[in-house]
Amino acid sequence: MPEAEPGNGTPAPDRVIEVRTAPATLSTASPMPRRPMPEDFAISLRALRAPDQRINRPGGERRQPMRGYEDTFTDIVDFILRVTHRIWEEKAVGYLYEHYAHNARVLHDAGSTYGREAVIEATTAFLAAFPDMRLYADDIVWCGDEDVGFWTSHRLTLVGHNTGWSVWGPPTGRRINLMVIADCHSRENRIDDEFVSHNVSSLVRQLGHDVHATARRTAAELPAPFAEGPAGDVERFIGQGSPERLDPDEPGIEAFVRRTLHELWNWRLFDRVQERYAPAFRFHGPTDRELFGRADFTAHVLAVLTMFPDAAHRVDDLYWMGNERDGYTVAVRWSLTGTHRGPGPYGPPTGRRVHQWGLTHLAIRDGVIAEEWTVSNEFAVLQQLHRPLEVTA
Amino acid sequence: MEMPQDFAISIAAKPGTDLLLAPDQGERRQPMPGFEDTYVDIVDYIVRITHRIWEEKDVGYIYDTYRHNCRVTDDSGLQYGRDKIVADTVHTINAFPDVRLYADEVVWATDGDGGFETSHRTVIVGHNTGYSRWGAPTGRKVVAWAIANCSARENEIHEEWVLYNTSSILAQLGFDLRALARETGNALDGDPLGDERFGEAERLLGQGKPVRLPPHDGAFDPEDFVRRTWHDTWNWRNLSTIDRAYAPAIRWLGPTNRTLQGRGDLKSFVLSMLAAFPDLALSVDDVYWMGNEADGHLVATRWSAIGTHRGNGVYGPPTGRRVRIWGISQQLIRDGRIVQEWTLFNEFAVLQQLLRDA
Repeated sequence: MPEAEPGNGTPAPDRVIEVRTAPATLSTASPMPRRPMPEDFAISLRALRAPDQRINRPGGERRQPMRGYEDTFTDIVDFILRVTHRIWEEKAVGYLYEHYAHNARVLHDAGSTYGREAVIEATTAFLAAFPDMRLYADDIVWCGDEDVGFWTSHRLTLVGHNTGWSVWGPPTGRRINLMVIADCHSRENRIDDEFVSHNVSSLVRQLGHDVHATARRTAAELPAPFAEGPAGDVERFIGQGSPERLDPDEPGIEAFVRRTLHELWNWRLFDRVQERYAPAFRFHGPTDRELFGRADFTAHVLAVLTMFPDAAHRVDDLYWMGNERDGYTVAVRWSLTGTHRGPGPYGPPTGRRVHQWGLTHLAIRDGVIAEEWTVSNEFAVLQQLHRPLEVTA
Repeated sequence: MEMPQDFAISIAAKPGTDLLLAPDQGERRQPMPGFEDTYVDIVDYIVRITHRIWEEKDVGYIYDTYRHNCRVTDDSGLQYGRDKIVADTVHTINAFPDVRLYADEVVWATDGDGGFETSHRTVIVGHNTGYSRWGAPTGRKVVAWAIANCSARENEIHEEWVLYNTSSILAQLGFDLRALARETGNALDGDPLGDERFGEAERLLGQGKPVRLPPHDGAFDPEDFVRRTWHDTWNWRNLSTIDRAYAPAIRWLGPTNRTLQGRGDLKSFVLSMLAAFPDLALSVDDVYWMGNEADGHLVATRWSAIGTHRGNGVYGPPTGRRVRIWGISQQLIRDGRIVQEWTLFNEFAVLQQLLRDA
């Protein structure tokens, strides 16, 4: 910018030129890093015969380029599988020093933590509460390569007994069975960015606590924010407009999923469920929701949008593996922002703005969504509804 | 300034503290006349002097790495000279003996003649187990992210702009920020001239319009992009600029633990500031960046704003007082859109100025 005067952001006012070059638009597409998606399931959990054998007899030939990863890992699925096993089940928590960057960011149900030490503290605390915890891998969706790093979306079932103290109180002795999804970005043997939902609302429920009462109690202990949170427009369209129209003919599985989620959640075109979901659609949702069939799922979407009439849905990350013949598994990270203005399972409307986010796996076969697994920060949403109001000056 | 065209010399290229803090870093990787031989590049210099001064507690190493008359502008104002830096560092390490400063990224540029600009984004973690100027130990844990912009030459920093996110730290120590700002603001020296309301905030010429930036054609220019985005948003008050310049899934971290989700929230934040300071005028004071089209750009911007407190907002009822806000932002730009932003400004000093009684 040669016109700028030194030390001042504004150039001399001798030229009058129109600033606005294009009308404002609300594109729903966020720029994503360039990254290749696997077009088959050659490297996947389903291709592994008996994953437990991998855990017992590690090693073998490397099956994809992975510069910087330990030689013992044959591929990225093996990396995720065995790192999880070693840290959680063998309890080699200190192995995190090898596999997390010192400044790793982790977004979890209750907020975000910074750095490797925080991961180590949280892992130790979780193991103390559930010493016999098992982490069964159900699926690992991945993409990327050794240059840009690997994105992995790891869906697991956690099974264990609460025989130690936790933030939820003294040991309850209860058995828990918890669906969890963890999205990680790793490069050269180290995870540097993670999004994980531990399905805390399910956990609290399975420990025998009342989810609503626990959310209310713990929210009251949260510090009031210095500045009252967002009051802005929920970003679904501009002013009196209508939601963005996505090209109905754009080919590819990514466009299919983006179009489906956008039309269902932002356009409120609930007929899309009939069109894009299988008749025997199964939905495994947060807080142990188990829905069967399209009608139940439609009712679920309607219930959410009734509680949050201005809700806007956003795809924050999306990657996939597969092809037409074998089907696809798609990992989606999403957020749903809205204002609590309608009745529903969250109680009478509070007028609070909430930010819900979650991680989803979709299994797509023959052009329709056959099964969905979704976890979200639902417990934090309940806390947001009940948290104390800001004390103003 | 010459901007690095890739991330070859960056924290991202050296994952892990094993590598970052290792004493033997190998061959020198860029010309750095006058710097100690142990430092192989400017990022290495910043990361390891920070580690040595703060974590190894070699506070005296400041004598080797700061110029005698170094100016440091921090959250509370201008601090002059190396000895003041030594004293302030001792104070803070005494208050937080287990303090850690995790390096997140260093944006840098060089004048090609031995001078470097560095913008160091760091996360400060520690427990308040010692006395500080805020009182007795609270025992509380603090996690605050901060940005320090330094100008260095021949192994010495001669100018530093640093925001420790003081308001966030004080909130985490359990203080009522507004009460503390009023109390400590009252203890500050008054303005030597008695009245700060001297000039006009410089945004318009009389009845005119804000300056229009000339159109930019051709290849994407990160400096032009960020200057235009700041100017059109804050000085023109054209908030649709945010829709064009930011990605929908923007991750925006701000001072005092603000976390904004999406462009609507960001617009609300800008509106809240403009409502509290209706004559607010912002100027971009310094911009440098690293990166390229394919890998994205990481831009460090230092900016300042002047405004008069004439509207309601989080700073309370209008006081009519003039404040100077200054800040540092880092923005990660991919495909022409900001996908992540870290912004800090001297918020606690602003609170002190607005809430003190006199």
